[in-house]
Amino acid sequence: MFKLLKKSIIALFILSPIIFIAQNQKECYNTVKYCHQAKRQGYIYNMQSESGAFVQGDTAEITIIVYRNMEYRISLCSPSHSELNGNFEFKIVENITKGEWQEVVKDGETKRKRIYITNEVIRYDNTEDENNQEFIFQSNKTRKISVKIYIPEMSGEENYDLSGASYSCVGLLIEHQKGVVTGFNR
Amino acid sequence: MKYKNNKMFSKLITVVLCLVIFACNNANKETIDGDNNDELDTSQVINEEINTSIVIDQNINYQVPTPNELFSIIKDLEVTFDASLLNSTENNDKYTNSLLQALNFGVYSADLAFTASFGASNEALKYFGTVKDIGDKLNVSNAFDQTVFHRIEANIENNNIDSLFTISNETYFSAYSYLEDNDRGATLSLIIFGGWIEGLYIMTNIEKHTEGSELSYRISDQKFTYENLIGFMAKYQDDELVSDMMSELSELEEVFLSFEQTEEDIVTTETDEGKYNFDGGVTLKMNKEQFNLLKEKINELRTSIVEATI
Repeated sequence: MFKLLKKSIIALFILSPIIFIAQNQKECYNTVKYCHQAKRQGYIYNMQSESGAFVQGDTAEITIIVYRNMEYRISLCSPSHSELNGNFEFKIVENITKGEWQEVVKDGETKRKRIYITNEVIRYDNTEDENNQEFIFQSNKTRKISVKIYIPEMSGEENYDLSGASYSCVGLLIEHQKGVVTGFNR
Repeated sequence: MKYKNNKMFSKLITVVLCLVIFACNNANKETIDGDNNDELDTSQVINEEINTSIVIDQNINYQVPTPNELFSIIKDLEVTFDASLLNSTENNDKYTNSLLQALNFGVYSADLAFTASFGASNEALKYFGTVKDIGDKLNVSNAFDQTVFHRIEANIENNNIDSLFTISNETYFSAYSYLEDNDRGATLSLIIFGGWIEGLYIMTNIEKHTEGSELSYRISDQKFTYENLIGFMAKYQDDELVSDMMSELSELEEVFLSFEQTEEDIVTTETDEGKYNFDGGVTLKMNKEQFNLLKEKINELRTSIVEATI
């Protein structure tokens, strides 16, 4: 009986880090609710916001839709690891697909073919803007954009789970409000 | 005894492993996937068949705007509120299985957003009640605070349309978060699907189509939300109901893919206030034929949802 207990404890000890990791991720639900919202500036919480659990050094990509003539505010926060706040790196990127004619040789015959090339264009990179932690923008068209996030590896005191990994709950807060409509026919 | 112990130990290990697999599986459902690659891809060559399919990357999290956000834009287009477009609250009794309940929870939520955005207070109150009722059937009643109805009534008395809209937004948010927190992503994706269909149904039926009008562009733009809807649902496509609903969208996808697409050079500028403007990029346009086809497909699908024949 003692052997069984011993084996059980060993098994639980070996497997518990995995359970803890899963638990950590579960605990990160709705992290974004604790991010500072700019309600006073008129912004409304946008449900495309997202929360997740990350190991420091991780990257993530979230694709959202931004409507024409709406103003959006994007920011990041980690209530569980305050040392991360102010140090997140993120890029706003957009895929632009353009068609172009290319000459293709097939069976000794040169043919013109329409080829579509998708380029990923970086609209904004906060590392080139003094690591600014909020990004406010307006779009003249409805478009699909991606937010690429890098969770920095911070030195200093960290919280570890039993696997030795340091997990952080991170919230990507998206807010919106009506933007300024410009132009003669507006 | 030793044999018995070994057997018990095996059982214990099996139980622990099941717990681990369950925990990991659940965790994966809601974790933002990282690709461990912070280098941005510079270009990707897609062949001539670019317009024949929509590409979904499983490593990316796709988000879908809510009907509330959509209608806050639509109400500025000088269109008139039309209560005949709403799904009758009397249909609620027809929704006897979880698929119909989830889909029509989305439909009624979109109707609620429509009524609240356009300040149709009495209709909004009625739809709040129906959304709560169908929410009870779907077991998301915990998402609804009972005080919400008192707040709605108070706002109707004071004719406070903005607050009504805010409450409608909060209600959707509560249900959304509740389902997410309880690992019911498949149900959530069916709700989002129903809400998206209803939003597009209202947009395509609220006014006679005028090519090049603001509303026409806004409808064309739904191709982007469609792509993200598919991306969102794809996470739960192992669920049979979700994959069935994704199949229902194939004809709509063909219409979206036929839209004319023009590209302009992209320009990003910064204002004096430190805000940015995104210009250029892709513009989608549909002609009358494409609009009629889109409307026909949406109407068919929406009817099958609200009439419980899907």
